[in-house]
Amino acid sequence: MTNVLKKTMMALLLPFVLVLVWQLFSQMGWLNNYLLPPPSGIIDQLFALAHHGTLLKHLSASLYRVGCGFGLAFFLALPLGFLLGLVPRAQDYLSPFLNFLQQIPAIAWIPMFILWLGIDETSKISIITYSGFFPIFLNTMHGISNTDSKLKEVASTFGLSPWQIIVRVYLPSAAPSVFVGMRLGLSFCWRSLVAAELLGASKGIGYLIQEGRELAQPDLMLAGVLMIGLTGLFLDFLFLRLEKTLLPWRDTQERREVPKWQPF
Amino acid sequence: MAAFLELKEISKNYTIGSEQIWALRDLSFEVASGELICIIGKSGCGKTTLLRIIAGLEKQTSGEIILNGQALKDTGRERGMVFQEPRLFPWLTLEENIAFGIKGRMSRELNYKTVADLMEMVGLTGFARAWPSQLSGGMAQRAAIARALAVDPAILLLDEPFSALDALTRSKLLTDFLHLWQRTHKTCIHVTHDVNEALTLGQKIIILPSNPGRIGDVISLPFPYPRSLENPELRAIKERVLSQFFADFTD
Ligand SMILES: Nc1ncnc2c1ncn2[C@@H]1O[C@H](COP(=O)(O)OP(=O)(O)OP(=O)(O)O)[C@@H](O)[C@H]1O
Ligand SMILES: [Mg+2]
Repeated sequence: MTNVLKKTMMALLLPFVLVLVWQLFSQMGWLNNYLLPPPSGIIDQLFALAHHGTLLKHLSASLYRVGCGFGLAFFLALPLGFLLGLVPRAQDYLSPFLNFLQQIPAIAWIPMFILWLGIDETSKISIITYSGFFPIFLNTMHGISNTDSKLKEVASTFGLSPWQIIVRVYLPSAAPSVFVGMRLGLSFCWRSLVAAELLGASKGIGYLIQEGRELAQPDLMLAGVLMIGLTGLFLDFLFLRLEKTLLPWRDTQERREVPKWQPF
Repeated sequence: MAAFLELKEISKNYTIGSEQIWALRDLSFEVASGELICIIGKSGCGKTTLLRIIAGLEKQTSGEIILNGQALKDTGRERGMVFQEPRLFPWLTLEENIAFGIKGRMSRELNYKTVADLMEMVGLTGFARAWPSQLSGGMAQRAAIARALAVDPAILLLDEPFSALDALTRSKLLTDFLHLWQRTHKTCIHVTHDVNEALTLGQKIIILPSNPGRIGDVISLPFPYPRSLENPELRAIKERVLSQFFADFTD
């Protein structure tokens, strides 16, 4: 418990110091309050937004889009990743094409998606699905195809059928990799959401920032930016907790995460 | 005693680059039911290949293996394998690892009892909930033996299971393994490159020549357990085995 407390303190130290210095500098008048409003101003703005219910409205609009987009990406990418992971040469065929797609940031697709699907929810959710799909798909596929053949051999000496080997060896062995993909995917969904909302929306956190620009209110823009960071952090934390609960054995092993797929 | 397991002129060749190499050539021997056989040979002489062929993980180039009157192909639960490394499933606890082969095949109570008995037999009681990454090398290897025994195979194949351990742990596990065999009298083929290990365990020693094609020596060891390697007869046999190794070298 004290360990958790200590870790939290360590994590909070840097932001705390930064905010403190920023606030001090603002109060000394060393910073232009228009270009860089003080932390207290941003927090006031956040409270005002929360008080009017507008914050909740924008946040829930954004979370709804990410929820749909990520959910869709997950249900498409997971089975496809499993299937192709089981095909030994699938990667040889896919890699060049995926590498091509990897060069294109999701944001570049947004105008095309709007052209195809209209300006409303469909195109936004599609772009989110698009950017969440690849990390989940790729990590799942790699997780499955990197299943230790030594463990497959053990399973086959026990006379397990191919189907049983998939369920009892491939799946658990790919699970950590799937989680890496899901966390990456979620964070990419979250990023492309903001991009999509900046380009055309009537609500959402991205819209809030856009509104701040139009009203020339930097504290509103920064409040939006802060919300994006905090919400993303919170979602990632939830996934980490989920991973810890579902894969307790990972805690005893050394972790090593290689981020794959960086569309931004 | 009728042959329980019979190997008839087993050959295996591999293509490495453009070269054909023979890992095994026309190897034949028999194993009686309940026998503890040690196969000894230098590194690279085909010991692992031989066990993998018997286990069904590898296909022989030619020859036939008969178990209980039936020609073998593919893997099967009647042949248990303990690999050179423990190969435990990292996502399963120790007890789940041991129960891997029997999961869903017997009642929950029987399953539980089998695993508990095995853990006691290999001296791992109390570690049921440990993850493999929390075990020492020796504990992991004992767990691997328990996992293979759980399905009660007709024959147990052991590929240098103790070779990666330090000398003290190895001699302790060797004694434990001997006790285990004396209790179960399971047919075992134990592969090793350690002459002392073979002399301590084997009712029969098969010397695999490092030059495939030459017939290996088969030595019977009709000595009671536990054995002392100071026994003059055993020392004479040790000399014989070692001299064959050296003869191999000077070929
Ligand atoms: N998959 C493979 N492909 C090609 N050659 C192989 C393969 N597996 C084994 N060999 C060759 O077969 C020979 C015997 O190998 P094997 O692993 O059976 O030796 P070993 O007696 O178990 O050695 P060690 O004591 O070092 O474990 C070696 O020359 C090796 O190069
Ligand atoms: Mg070997």
